[in-house]
Amino acid sequence: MRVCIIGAGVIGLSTAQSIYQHFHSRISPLTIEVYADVFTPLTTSDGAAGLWQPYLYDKGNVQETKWNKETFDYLLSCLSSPDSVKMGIFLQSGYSLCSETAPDPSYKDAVLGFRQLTKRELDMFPGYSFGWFNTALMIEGKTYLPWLMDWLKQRNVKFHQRKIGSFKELADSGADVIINCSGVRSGDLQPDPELQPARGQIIKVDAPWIKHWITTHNISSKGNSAYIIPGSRLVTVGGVFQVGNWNLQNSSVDHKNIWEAACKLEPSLQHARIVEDWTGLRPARSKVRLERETIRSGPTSFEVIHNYGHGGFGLTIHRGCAEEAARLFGQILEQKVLLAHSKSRL
Amino acid sequence: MKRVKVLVVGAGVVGLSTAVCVAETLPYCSVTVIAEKFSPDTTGDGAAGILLPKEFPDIPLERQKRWFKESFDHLLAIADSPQASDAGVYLSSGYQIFKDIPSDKKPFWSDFVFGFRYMTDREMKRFPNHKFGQAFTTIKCECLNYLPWLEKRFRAVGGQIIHEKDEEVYPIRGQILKVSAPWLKNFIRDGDGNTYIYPGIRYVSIGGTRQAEDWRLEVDKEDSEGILERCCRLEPSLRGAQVMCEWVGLRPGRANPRVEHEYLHLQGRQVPLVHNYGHGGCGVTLSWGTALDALDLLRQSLFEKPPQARL
Repeated sequence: MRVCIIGAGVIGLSTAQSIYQHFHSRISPLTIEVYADVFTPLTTSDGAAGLWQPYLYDKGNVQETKWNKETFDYLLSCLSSPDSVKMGIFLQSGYSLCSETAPDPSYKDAVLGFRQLTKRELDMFPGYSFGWFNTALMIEGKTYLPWLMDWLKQRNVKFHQRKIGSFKELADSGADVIINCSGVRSGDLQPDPELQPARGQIIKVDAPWIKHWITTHNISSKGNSAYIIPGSRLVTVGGVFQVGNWNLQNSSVDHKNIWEAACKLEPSLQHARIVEDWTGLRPARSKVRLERETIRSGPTSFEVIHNYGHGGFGLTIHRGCAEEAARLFGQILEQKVLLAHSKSRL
Repeated sequence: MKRVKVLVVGAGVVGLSTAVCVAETLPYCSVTVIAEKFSPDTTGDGAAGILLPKEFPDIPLERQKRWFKESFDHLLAIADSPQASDAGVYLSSGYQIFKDIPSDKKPFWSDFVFGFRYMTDREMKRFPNHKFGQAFTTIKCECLNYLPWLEKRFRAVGGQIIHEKDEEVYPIRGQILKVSAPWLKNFIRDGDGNTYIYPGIRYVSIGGTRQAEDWRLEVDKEDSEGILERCCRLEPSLRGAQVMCEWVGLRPGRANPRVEHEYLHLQGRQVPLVHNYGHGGCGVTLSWGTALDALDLLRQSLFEKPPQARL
């Protein structure tokens, strides 16, 4: 059984991990390969601040809320392991600010110590009259992805730096199952009008006295709302959310707007040293595409599992989706009667 | 023309705070700080500087509340300003956990910090040896930054500084380790006061010890081992942290801080003497509030008739 994963961001790597964990002892041989044109530290996952926080409301996508929670619980359990620092995960508390009273967010039960902000706390943030405080997890892509790659390499997963032109290309080379984790550029492999880039730009700053994340939510601004998220070394300041914008260059206009909004939110930033800007394209979609597809190619057919479209919550949802992708992979194996055979050998 | 000469003895966090309060508020006073030790060699410089009071037995609760609230509000205004990074003042959230449920679950200061609440069961799961915990957001004030920042403020209104040896109180020895663990953002303190983890600007302070009448300023290796063992149990990720250095400070121990005034009979004159010392481990925590109190006492003693003159 040869599995080829396209994409080496957090989605591709974690999917490889889940498939290995569930099936390496049940299928032999199981070859897992990852194909990507960019690897850490150049993927979209690497630039993200790494705060576990879904969008406020799931709009009925209860599956996504479930996958988010699964990811949180999984990362929380990793905290006590000796690997936690090497994985780049740690707890951090912070403020979610709203310009008006809002219903509780979908993730309120997943995080720790969720509560409303008191009036005294809100006084620190002029312009925001409502909000919440909770302790969440951080997963820093620049640390987590190398840790995942090491984990996979130790288990003989092979990596190939190559841009894949089509699913057929991999199928022709002998792939039994293809897992599409190509993020914002999935449209190159199979057109998807629901998938669009949502451009984000961030400023990385040296401000180690800031120990809380601050995210703001303005209903009218459509995601273009300031956030300040301290990491283990630098603080990430954002945010813009420009749907349809493919430009990977940093914009000085965006920089100015982001910086002004952030300094209003956190006056102490004014004396912070700016290190660099970075731009990334969130793979935005109405909902995550996580499903199987059988593609006919002449007389044969091959299986594709799609796992893309995680918008600005890829790190937040990655484990839940990886486990679901592994479950779909299991379905494929059962249909090919492979799994049943290996079960009967026991 | 400055008619009244005020001498402040001590340039730690309480001395400098008091000096600034007097110098900024009373334009007719010329203030001089006299001390042996200045930042970075004061006790406060090694302290983590987390604002967390304890309840003193003999001081009326209203006064203690005032001391803490005024210190908290003063530092909050700095934390919320562009000066925050220069002054080394910022918000810090975390947990205080207890092995046994304390008799006082909601201490007097719970209203003055932010978001005080009891920890949830899920949060307590990280600490299997502890039965109860409090979560809140308070302020951290790092003296290595704050004291030079106060000194600048003091000099800006004409304050003078003299280096000379000063008085001593009974010590409560405390040892800490400074470790590099920049992924730690929340503090954890055991309610017994002996084990704590306070993430700072450039390092995390872990401690501690409370050894009364112990004057040793040298690092004790057994204390270091004990601190590491206890802190790693609360926060396993510390096992991977690099120890940068160890430090020992002597808390100015006293049953209660002494904030009161008296008169010294010197060279035929009644000289007012305002005491503001003995804050133990609550120096940073109560610095501004007790400084304001000392200022009031100074004002009183300058304008009331001293005892002898009534005869």
